[in-house]
Amino acid sequence: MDNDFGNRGSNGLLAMNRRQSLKLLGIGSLAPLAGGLFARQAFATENDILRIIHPAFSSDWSPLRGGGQSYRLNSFWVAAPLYYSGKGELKPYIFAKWSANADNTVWQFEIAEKARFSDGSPITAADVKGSWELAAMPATKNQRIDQVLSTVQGYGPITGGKATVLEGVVALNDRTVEVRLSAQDPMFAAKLANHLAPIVKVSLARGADGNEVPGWWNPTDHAVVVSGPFVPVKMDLDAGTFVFERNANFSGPAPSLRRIEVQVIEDASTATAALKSGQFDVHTLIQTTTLIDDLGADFLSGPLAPEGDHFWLNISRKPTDDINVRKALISAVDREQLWKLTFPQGPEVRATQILTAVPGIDPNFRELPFDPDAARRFLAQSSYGSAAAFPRINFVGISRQVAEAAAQYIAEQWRTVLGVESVAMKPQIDKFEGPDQNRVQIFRDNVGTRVSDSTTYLRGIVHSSSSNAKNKLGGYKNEQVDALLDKAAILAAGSEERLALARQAQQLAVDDTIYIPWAYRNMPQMAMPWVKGIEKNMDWQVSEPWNVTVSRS
Amino acid sequence: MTGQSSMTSQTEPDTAKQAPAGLGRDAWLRLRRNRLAMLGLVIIAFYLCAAIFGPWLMPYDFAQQDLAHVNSGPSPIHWLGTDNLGRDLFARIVGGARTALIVAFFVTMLSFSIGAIAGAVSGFVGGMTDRTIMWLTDVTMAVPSLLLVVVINTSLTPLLSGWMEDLFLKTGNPMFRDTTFLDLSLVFGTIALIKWPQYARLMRAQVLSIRNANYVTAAIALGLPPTTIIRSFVVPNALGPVIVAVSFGLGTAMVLESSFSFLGIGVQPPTPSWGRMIADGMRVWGAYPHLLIVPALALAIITMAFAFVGDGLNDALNPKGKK
Repeated sequence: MDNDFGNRGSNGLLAMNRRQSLKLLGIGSLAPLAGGLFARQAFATENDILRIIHPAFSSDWSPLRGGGQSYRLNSFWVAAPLYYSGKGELKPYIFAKWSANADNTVWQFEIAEKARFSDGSPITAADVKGSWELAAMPATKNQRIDQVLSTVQGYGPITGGKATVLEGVVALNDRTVEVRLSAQDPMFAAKLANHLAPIVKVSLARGADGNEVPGWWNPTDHAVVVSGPFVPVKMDLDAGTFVFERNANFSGPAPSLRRIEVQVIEDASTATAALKSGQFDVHTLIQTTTLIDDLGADFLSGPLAPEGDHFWLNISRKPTDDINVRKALISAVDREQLWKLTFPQGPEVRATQILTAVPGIDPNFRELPFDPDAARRFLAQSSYGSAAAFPRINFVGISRQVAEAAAQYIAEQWRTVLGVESVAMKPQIDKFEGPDQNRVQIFRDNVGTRVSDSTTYLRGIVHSSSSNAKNKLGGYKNEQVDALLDKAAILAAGSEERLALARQAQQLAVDDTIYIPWAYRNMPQMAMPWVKGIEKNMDWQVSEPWNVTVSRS
Repeated sequence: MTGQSSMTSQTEPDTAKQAPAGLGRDAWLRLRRNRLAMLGLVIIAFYLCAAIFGPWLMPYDFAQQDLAHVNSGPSPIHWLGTDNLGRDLFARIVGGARTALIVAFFVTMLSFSIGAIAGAVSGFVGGMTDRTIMWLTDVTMAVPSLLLVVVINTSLTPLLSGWMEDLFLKTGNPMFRDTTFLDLSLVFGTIALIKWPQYARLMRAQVLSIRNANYVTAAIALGLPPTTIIRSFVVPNALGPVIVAVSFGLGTAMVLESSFSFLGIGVQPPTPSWGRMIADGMRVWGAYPHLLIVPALALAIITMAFAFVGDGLNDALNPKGKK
């Protein structure tokens, strides 16, 4: 008595014929695909989510390192004492007001009344003092803390591991911090306008020994309390997946975005394709020679940064220890072509002098012109006589595609003009072995400042106390340069005399033929056109992350 | 009977025409009939000519930069276009052919020499010698080849480079400053180290099958020394499959060299290498596809040519094996 219907009902799938099975299989295969497509469409129209590609895996995302790839995301989740807008204006943030005594040795900062951590607790003067002490502790390994606190009393003992307290920073009350400096510094407030020593909740981030609590910034095991506009809610370090959500207690303007998702994609081609397809909106840092072709000029738009990328010549290594050799090497390179070749569509600008995008640029700056004949003459006048006697010339810092192109261009110019035949290029100095590490003559590196001031800029590059002069330039010391910069440093910020001294120091240093200028960098937003409000500042941070909006169609 | 005699009378004149051809001539005649193999030979000959004479015939040096034509596509000035430094792609392809062919021939010669001797000795002598040599081949083959290359290059290159620089500083002899020589030597050595066990095993297998042949037994009975027996009787008769392996090996060596350069551990710029050119082209393939396509095609064509020739040689030297 069973009919077909009854048979199917009683025997289920086994009773289906082949055609029905195929149909079921087809529907079964297509359904998830169709569902996935619709899901993606729904996903793609969520305009309160920002999706960021990050270029590198790291097991350490502490915002206290003062550098590294993850540094560029700091402004999303930790607040700075002050900040620079995208236009270079100094703005209040955690600190609402500040003032200095007559000789700029004592500064007072008042914390904004509404300043709160993400758990709702107020940000206090003790948190500021503790955050700076924590950033200065040697175990924290902050890469650039000296740029912020080096003139504060007690900085030496704490960075030297002999103290856990920065005696020059005093909490006068819950909302007032006093900073006592060991030297006059009219630019001290401006030096705080970055995320090198951001404000963290000290009771969470600092242990009893004064050092950083490992992993306090990772929400995997516990809720993380931060001062910035977004709070980390997921950090999968192995998968390179990070999620931040809006901080409901943020003391600044309410963020437009609800959520930020970060995914590590190391390969630049894959990342480019993912951005182009609309799967992601922003990249932390991507550099290829075809980025404008691939993603459009807007992707790299942004104001000029006070930062230049140059090839530094070590003055204590053979053959660049001879000033005539340095003159020959510089004169043999057509810098205009070098720049055009490597950044044919920008946004980098051809470099000449060291100073850029700060007040004090020298309109009368002089540099060695490109002149092959002069280059050959300089070489003939040198102690080497000809390039045949040169040892191999070693480059480091050739870590990017454009840097490699630039270095190869320079090497070819040297070969054709001067007859330099042996050149080696490596990404880092430790890629050279043993004695070769002490034979590197050319260091490609970018130098810059986080303070809109030419004296500060030059002190970090050509003053004999700077790391650049000590290391890349091989102990470069010009006493006149040092004296001019020391004199300028205590003059009022922006004063004409201060600017003139800086210009003079720059010209003296450049006359010592210490670099081949390459390109000035801009601060590219690295965002697709549907992302707005993502301008960056001198600190390479999104200056106002609360203003970032996404409008995908 | 009539039928038999007529058959004999028909075959005799043919035999008289073709004999005494010899193994080599027979193989050549069979190879000539294989169109793909001949195509492969023509391609290889073309690449060889380009590699040998190219530098004198090319209008550009492979390192010369034409800054007015950077990343340009194929044109009458630059037949295959230019790269990101304005260097002529055709000149670099020809330069890359030189690098690839030098590596292929030297490496194959080196690995074949080591492998053939080791395999012949192993197979003929047997016993402890055989076990030791085979253990060595097993050990070498057990290590992933790419890992071995990376380890050798990263550990030796900086050391040797520093040592050569020291020698230059002491002697002033510019030969010690030339890193291309060092790069190539390391590539030769490393690829040869990877490839010799294959030839050794093949040769050993051949020798094992030959050493009990009557003519070898006769040679032993005559009291000929083992080296003479190996050189005069064993090796020549074992060479057929080995020659086939060598022809395939040439293509493989070129691919290996390109793979190392692709990874940045082979020949260093500005010396051109197809692998390096492919790696550079991959980074810009969206905007300038010719920078990827041209070197990839150059490598693919020559590798295929060696495969065609190898296949043809296999058929020619081993006619019984052909279906």
